[in-house]
Amino acid sequence: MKKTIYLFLMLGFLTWQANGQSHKVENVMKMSIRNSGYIMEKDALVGYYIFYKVDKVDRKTEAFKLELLDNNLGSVKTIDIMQPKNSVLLEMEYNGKAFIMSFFDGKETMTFLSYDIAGKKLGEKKDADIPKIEKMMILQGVQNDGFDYSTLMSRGDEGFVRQTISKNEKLGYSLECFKNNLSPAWTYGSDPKSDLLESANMLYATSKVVVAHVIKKKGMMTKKYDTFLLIVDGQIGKKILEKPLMDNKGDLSLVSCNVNEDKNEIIISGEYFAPGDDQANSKSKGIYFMTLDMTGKELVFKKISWDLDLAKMKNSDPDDKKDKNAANAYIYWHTVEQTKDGHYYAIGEQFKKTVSAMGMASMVLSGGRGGAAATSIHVYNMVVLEFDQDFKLVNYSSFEKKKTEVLLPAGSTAAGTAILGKFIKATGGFDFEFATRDKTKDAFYAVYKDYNRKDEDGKKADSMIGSIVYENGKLANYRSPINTEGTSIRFSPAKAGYIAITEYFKKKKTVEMHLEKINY
Amino acid sequence: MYFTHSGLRVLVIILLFVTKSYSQQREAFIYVPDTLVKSSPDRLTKIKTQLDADLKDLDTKQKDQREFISKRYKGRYDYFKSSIEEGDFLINSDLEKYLVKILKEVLAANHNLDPAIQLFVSRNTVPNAYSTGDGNIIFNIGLLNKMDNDAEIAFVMCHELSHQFLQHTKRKLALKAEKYTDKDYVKKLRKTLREEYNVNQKLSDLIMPGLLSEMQFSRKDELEADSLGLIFLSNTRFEKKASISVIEKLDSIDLFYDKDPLALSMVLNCAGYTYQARWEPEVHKSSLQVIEDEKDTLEDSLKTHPDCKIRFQSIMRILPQNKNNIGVYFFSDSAAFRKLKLQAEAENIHTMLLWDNIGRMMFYAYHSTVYFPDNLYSRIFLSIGFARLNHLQRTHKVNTEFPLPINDFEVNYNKMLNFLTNLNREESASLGYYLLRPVQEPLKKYEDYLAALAYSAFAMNKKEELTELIGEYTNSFPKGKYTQLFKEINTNTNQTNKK
Repeated sequence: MKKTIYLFLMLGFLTWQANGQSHKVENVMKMSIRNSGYIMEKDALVGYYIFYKVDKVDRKTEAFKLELLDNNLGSVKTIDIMQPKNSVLLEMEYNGKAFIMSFFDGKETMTFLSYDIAGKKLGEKKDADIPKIEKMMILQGVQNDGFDYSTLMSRGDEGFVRQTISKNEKLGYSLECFKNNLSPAWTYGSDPKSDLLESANMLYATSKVVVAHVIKKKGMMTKKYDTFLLIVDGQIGKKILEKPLMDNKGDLSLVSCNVNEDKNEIIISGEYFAPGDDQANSKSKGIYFMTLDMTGKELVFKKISWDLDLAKMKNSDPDDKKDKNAANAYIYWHTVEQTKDGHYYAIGEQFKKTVSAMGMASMVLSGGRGGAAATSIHVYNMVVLEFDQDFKLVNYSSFEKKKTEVLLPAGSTAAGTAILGKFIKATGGFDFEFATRDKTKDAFYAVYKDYNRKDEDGKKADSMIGSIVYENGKLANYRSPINTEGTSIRFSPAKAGYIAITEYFKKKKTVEMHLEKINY
Repeated sequence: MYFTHSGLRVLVIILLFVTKSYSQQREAFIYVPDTLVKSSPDRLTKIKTQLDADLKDLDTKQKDQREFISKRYKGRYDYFKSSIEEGDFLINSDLEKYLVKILKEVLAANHNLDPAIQLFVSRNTVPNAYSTGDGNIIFNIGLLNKMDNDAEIAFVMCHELSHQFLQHTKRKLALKAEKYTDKDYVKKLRKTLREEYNVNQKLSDLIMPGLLSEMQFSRKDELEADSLGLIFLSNTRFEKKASISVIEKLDSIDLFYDKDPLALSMVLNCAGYTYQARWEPEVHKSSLQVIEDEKDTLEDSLKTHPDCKIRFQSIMRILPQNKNNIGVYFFSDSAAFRKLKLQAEAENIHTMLLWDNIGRMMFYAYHSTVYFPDNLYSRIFLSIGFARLNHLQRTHKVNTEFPLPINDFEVNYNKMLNFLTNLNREESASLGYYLLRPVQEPLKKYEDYLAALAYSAFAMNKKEELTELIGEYTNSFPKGKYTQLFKEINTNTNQTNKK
């Protein structure tokens, strides 16, 4: 799951009020995304962190506090940290025994600090040799809201893995593994002499394996690219497998990756394409599941066709026929959740390309030179596909929500639906927010926005959240109004069954964070 | 009633429940709270007179110190005024009358104490009592329900009377005024605030020594009040050893509601609706929640009260050892004291209802139902709590009256909150309803009982029963405190029917 990092940029004196279930910060002159976020331990959300400046130490150094809150927003620990002036917290990752934080000093250097859970400093590491392109990405992100810089993952409770760009002959990637005290454990990277541009996106890391999605292309401007599944030994950093994501010469996209440590299995899923088709330009033929053992040996490969398997199921779902456009829409998969009975639930959202009056007008007015594309995307209902332990499709459910429209940039009309889906995801056009799991209760909760609905008392509510809940072996759907008068509002994951809501009140200059139950 | 062995405690809880229904039929206790008193001109006049006298006494002080102290004196008066007006004191209640009797006995036995001292019983559920320094003592109901006999209450009063007698508050305030109006000190503070670097650390270096010394004085004052309090108690007929049991209680007062395991199934296994095993609350602590700070020595130094072990040793040193001279534990008899405790338990519940803290209200009601099975009042408010929870679930506002668990809460309260917030609508409605079924006709004469029957029928959507019960309520209590609630329920029901 990607992390969204919130920043509270605070000027003036700060006062904190925490009473469990809500946390208030006063004197917030401006709120933007970054210096706070949530803390995951394996699959469970265990708390939140907030990082803020408290003092100037000298001309070059500032004193900060990192406040840790538990998953009920109760304050559990505050750690004092000294960093160079203008430092920005880029990331924070927790592995059950230690925290790692990465800071950027605004100029050249990244600093990594690690602490144990009692707040004792374990290690410090500096990286002053950041490739120019990565520095640009960081700076651009620091200046813009919505910055998502996610390069660190826990490697069990033994340490952390960092993915970074390396300066090869062409640009490459590197996976660096640290122990909890930040001493190096191993490094695995692309071939320094490779004549390809190579990048890696870590999908999952445990003490046994690190799984990444690797993309290779000839040049920066080349549209054609190849994708691979990379599995690296988590203990020694040796490559186990680099497998092209292809089936019968058709691309396989990658949506979800889970590692079942009990069974020593890696489960990946995504969409498959017809032979000769590629994910950048074509429409997929269906969804696939692949399981591999820890040596990379393929155990199962199962394809579920949109036209053959899904169509049958959709015909039996009366809700899906309410809106023909929605029924014929494409599905973007957000996540796949597995329950104790071995079933898999793929949670997705319907979307469809359509002609946009606004886009047409923009194109005509700009003389065809730019602006928005003549097409836009309509985002429709939430859908859940249930597969049994053998990946046979056994159920299809759609959950109605309000249709929303996403304008596309000029030149994107010809792009394939898989790429469009990724574009909508990256620009925040989907309503899906997050999914949380409660392994003890064998439950999962998928949360999405659903604005301007009416609650059951007939009163109009501005913001509603919808949730798809799997509890006691059943799927259910809920809609809850969010009672807010905030200037801006953000949703973020919370402990299972809850959503964390951060509201900024511009007039009062306060930021309030509170938890709401989603399934009443 | 507390036991040392947890297994024995569980057994006793079970036994309490075996006999519960019998005892309910025999003598169900239903508390009828006194009408809220929101004015007390006589007492306020007395406080105002004292304020004027105290302000006059300040004439000899320097101007800035006079202003510093007078501001706090006036603040104290304002606190009393607003607390009275908001109904935060149980004025003229049975509870207050009972405590005043004990106070009078203590005052009568100690002629050097001011007989005009006033007692206020506060609705505050934090276990505490304090002297405000102007001849008034405040006794929280949260402390009252933790006392085991009248002698313990008398010792608490003796301790607070000692603070008043020794003028601790006045002296502390004078010292503070001296410190905070010191020109050099204020100058240094201003200068530090203007500095560019390490402002927080420098401020802390400046403020902390004074604060530490203030707290040291405060701890000394407490030991003095314990010693003198014991002397005052010795002059009464109350047993002096109560001083020891009070200190022992204070040592573990934070664990009061955690002494026994939460036994929800004992209370919520109703005829018609069985307790579900899956409701059994568990508190899963994540690795973040179990972070335990190393012992904070600064926090210890900032405590206003000394460690209970030190207080215990200090009292033991001066406790008269005459074994033949055993005092009394009860003012009149233990039955009257038990009634007082039941009333205190009920007022704890009632106060949480008034303050819209329904989570706490239900926790106190659960606790009282376990230890006082004949306390039907607590059962009524458990039912009202479930119906209210159901309403908040429907309107998605549960968190306004039910907080989420946090480390500062009692373990059992956190468990109860987990249980309550995990119930679904059908479950909350059913628990509220079946807790009071079958209906006991003779009890309908009690307003809260009849209202709880109707409110729980509303949550269960039992329309005919609801109409009948609201009709009965309106007839019996035409100007009852739930009239507005039932008007709203009627309006809602009519609107739903029209739809």
